[in-house]
Amino acid sequence: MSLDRLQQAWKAESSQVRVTFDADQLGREVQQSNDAFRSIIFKRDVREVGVALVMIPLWIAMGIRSSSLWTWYLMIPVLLWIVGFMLVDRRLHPQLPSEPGEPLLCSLRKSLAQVEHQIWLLRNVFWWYLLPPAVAMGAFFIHSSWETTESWLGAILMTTIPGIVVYFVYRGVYWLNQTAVEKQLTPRRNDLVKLITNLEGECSEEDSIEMMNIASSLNETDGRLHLERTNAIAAETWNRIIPSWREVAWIVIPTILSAYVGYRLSFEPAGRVAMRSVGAAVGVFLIILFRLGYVAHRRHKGQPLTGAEQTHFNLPARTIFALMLLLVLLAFVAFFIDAPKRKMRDKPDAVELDSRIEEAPDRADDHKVELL
Amino acid sequence: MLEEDPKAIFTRWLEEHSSSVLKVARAYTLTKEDCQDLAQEILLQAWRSLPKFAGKASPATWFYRVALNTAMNWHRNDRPRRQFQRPLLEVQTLVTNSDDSCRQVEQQELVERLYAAIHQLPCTEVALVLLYLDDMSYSEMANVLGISESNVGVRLNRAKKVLATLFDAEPVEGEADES
Repeated sequence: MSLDRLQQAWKAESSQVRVTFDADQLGREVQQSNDAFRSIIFKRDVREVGVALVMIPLWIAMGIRSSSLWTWYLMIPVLLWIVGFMLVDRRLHPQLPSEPGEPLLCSLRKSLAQVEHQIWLLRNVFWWYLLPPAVAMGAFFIHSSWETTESWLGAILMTTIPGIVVYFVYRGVYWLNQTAVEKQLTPRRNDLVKLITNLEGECSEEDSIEMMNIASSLNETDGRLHLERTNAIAAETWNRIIPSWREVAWIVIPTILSAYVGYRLSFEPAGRVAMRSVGAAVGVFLIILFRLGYVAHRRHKGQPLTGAEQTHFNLPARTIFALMLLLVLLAFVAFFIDAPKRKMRDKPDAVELDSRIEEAPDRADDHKVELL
Repeated sequence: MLEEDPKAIFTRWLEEHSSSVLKVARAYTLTKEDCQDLAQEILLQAWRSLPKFAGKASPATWFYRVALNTAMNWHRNDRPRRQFQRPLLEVQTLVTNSDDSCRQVEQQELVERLYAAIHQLPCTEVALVLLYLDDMSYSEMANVLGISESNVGVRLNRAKKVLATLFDAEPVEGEADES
């Protein structure tokens, strides 16, 4: 069959097709899509930058309220650094929606640059995101331990427990980021490099066949789709951990029970009733949530998150998410209620003060006798 | 950049180049639903990027760029996001007189086989073949894809050979029954 004949048939078919479209609806769809994108960007910025900005005055208020040591305030420059870093990075490397009017190769190169930047960001997450708060927290723990125990051994012992907790949390965060680089970003970069090489230069037919399977990698680097997918993956993760109301019951019932136990049991070093109840509830909540996360991880082993299965949080997952936010709020409230009490605990109580006052004249007389 | 009403420009351009949108959509999808879905996505992307059209390329080149970039970015996994969209476009096949109808059917069969062969090509080669079938010059193809004209020549020759082989390997409708 001659290719010229195919070309003729191709062109003839084009002339027999007519497309009609609703321009007004098209405009509305584009507007809705742009609004949705702006909304995603706004939510992301609020989540990542806004939370840090809210934390700064809150941190100062907490420090003043509880008469904290000066090392407590080291976290403020750290929060400012993280916010500043994110804002500058967003400005220099904005995640814009793709520009489809560009030549294909140009679009591919832009996608590659975006992926490479994401890889750089996550590879260096320790230096710009994890290390600064770790230094600030470490300084505060050591300082407060030293002030309390006034011995190196005591300070080290008191710092060890929070240090271990922070270490494991950091290890988890770092591992998640590096896994994302290895499992998602690096293969995507390799695919893009292959596509670009394929378009730019000479390559064998075997290489060309490989291209069939990797075109979808482009989709991952589109700013709009990347953000939508990130949200979808977050939803999928939560839905895997809390797939039904049974898991909600697993979390809620022990959390309420532990809050009640904290309320009933009188354990003075743990603070006031509010602090004891919320502390117990938060502890149990986190333990069960991590346990369910581990179970979900085991259950879905070998099934990577794609963001394609579920794009929205299911109702049980939303419930637990709301409960988590409520507990965070209650923890702050409890902290503020408990702070004056702690200050009082650190000072001598009224009876002790009275006895000191009573002893004071006798001591003065003793001094007079000694002088005479 | 565009002094005329964008809606009017878009409507006019789409009348002229709607077939390229449909061809790209069909070449990069396997089912009718996916084809409709991708065609709608191309329209949305074209409308979205119309204000940024600088006039450096011809509308035909620009439409092809948008269509091919969207097709390569398009992913079936995004369907949940789009399933609530109302249909944006309607495709009509024009009816010809009875003398031509026989030839039309024959051509349609030929085009069907051609699409079947195109579906077996690598995605970057599909782009080249579509541009070739639409009778674009090497310069226009290079402009759409962002590669050099010499590269277009080398790649197109290879793609044409592969296409011819695949096309010949495609069974003609009715042939299998006869044998």
